[in-house]
Amino acid sequence: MKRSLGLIALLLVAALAAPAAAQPASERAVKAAFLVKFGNYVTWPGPATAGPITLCIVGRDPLGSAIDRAAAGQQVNGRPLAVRRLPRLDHDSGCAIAYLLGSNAQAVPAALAGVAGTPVLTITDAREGTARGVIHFEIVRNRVRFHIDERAAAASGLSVSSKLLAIALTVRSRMSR
Amino acid sequence: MRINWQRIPQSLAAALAVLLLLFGVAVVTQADRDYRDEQARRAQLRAEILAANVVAAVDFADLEAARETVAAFGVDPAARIVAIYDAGGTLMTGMSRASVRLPQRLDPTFVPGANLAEGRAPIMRAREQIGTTYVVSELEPLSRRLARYALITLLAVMASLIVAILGLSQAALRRANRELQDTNAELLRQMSEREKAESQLRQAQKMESIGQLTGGIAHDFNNMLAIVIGSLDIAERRFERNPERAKIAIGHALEGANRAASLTRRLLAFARQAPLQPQPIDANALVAGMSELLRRTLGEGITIETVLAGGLWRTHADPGQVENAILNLCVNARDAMEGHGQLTIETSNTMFAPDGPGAKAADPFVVIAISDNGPGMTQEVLDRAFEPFFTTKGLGKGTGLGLAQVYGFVRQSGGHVNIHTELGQGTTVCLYLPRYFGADTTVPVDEPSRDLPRAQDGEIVLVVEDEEQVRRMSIETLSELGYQVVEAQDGLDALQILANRPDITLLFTDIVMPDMNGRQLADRVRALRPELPVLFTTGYAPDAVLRSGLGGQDVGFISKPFTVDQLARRVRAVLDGARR
Repeated sequence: MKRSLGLIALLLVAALAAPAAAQPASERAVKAAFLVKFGNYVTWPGPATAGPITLCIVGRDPLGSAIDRAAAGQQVNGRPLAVRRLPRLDHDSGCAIAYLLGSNAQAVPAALAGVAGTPVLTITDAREGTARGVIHFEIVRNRVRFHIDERAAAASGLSVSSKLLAIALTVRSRMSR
Repeated sequence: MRINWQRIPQSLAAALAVLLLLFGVAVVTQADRDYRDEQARRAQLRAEILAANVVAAVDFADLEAARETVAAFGVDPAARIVAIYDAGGTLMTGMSRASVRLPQRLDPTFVPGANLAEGRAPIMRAREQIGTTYVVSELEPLSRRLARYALITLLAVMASLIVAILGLSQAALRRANRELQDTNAELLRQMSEREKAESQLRQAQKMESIGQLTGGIAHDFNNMLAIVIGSLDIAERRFERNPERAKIAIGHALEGANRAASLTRRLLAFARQAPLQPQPIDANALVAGMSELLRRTLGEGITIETVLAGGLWRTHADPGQVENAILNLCVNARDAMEGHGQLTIETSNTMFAPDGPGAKAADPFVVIAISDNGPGMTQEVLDRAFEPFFTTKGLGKGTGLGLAQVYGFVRQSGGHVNIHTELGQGTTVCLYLPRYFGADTTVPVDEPSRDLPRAQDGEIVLVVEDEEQVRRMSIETLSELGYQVVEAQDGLDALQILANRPDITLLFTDIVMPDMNGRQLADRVRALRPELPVLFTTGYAPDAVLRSGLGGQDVGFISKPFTVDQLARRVRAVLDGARR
């Protein structure tokens, strides 16, 4: 009884705490699909490991089960994808890919600063704020597009495939002018 | 190794040209195939490049980016379809051109059409296929292809043409060369033939001129002899009652004169202007009859062997001339053997063809072969053997007329002479005399007789002779024989006398006379007195007399010089013949 009450309370809190995201289901599905695909176009530093790649949803999770569905059976460079939901991102969180949405516990910029320089593929969303990670979702003309900050990627030791760069809305180039 | 370019046959050149053409065609076909394969591969390559380029666009469903890339690939003018299909085979985006239909679904059975190459490539993200690209491009526009073919064909045709022209010109050259060779050979042949003809002509001319010369000499000589012989003969008779010595001397003179007469007769025979007196003769008997004479003439150093064939055919020739020929040859043999050696006279029957076996049908001949084992003759001597006045004997030892005379006599008798000689071994001379198929009776040779036929009563002879001395002699001889004689010195005279003297029983005329010759006279006389017998005489008779035949009953012939004996017999024969 106490446990079920607790759950309901948690849910309520979660429901109240999450802002009215108003993402249409298709948008969620597309973003989810994108999220699980990004890993194929990024190279992490260091030797290749065999274990699963962790995709962390940090903060309010607008995608819900969509991400689980997208991640199921998906592979990144031959490694299975594991989805974790975290309230906050620290540099020892063990995330290879982090979708930063912000929460009361941690704002997006703080999360970004927390893992700066570490090989974490940070993905932000224009819906949440202006702070940008390596990849930054934006809806343009009713389509899910994204920006890529290659400089930030390089700073984190990540290398982004030119194929991905080719379809990005904007690319902040690694080369300094 | 030197290649004789002229020998390369025309067929080889043609074969080369054909091979070249075929090779060219093969090369073109293969090159064409390679080109098409390459173009097909290029379509595939494009599809693969496209696939690599649109991975992210397809993965992230970025149609705009995909469309941009497709457009970029569509810039290639050869491109006919550039399309991207998703994992399910549905068209994501694409373009098509030049009325080629863009399939909405990826269809492996889709045939783009003729002259188009297609390529499909999977769009791979990691190890997962997320779509397929499909590229169709035109292989090569037909005009360009035809142009390519045309160029190569042109080159091949030109090469073949060159080879063909070379071959043809070669053939023409060879033909011209062959013609030239043939013409050359023909020229050489004609030249050699002309040389042969010229030498033959020279030979004939030589013989003819010599004949004329000797004939002329003999004629005059003959007349002198006729006088000598006749006179001596008469003298012998007149001095019968006188001392024996005169008789012996006269006998010798007669003998000598006869020998000289015999010589002139030979000369005339050689000149082919004295008719011979051919008779059927048995060569065996003749040779046998000569054996004593030969032994005496040739001397003791020479061994004579005679091989006389049994069943020897008869031949028809002047026996005196045959004897002369054999004697001549034996003397030559003796001289060649320098007085010591073996001489063989052989007679046989044979079938002989003068031009070699097979050239002309062989005829039957009687062969008299005289062989010696002397030194033989060299080729130069052999070539000139029958040439008159050609002799290998020293000055004063040979007249050079012997073989020429033999040749003349044998040819005139319708026969042939062959000489076989071998240096160091000896020489054989073969006389071929034609077989005689006539009556079996042969007249024995040289039968002297003292039994002279004389004139009978009333026999009157008209002697026609333009040379006074000869006429005198004839008259004397005939008178001696008991004939009454009337004389005329030419044909006209004779005719006049005949007209006035119908009692003349014989016309005895010389043949060669100025104005009217004996033959003409005889013809005129026949008109007057057809039954009158005629006796011709001459030392110089034209061939016509001989050829016209002397077989007529009342036409006789006696050649000068003649003995009393011969004249008596001949006159008697003619008169007796006419009487029958």
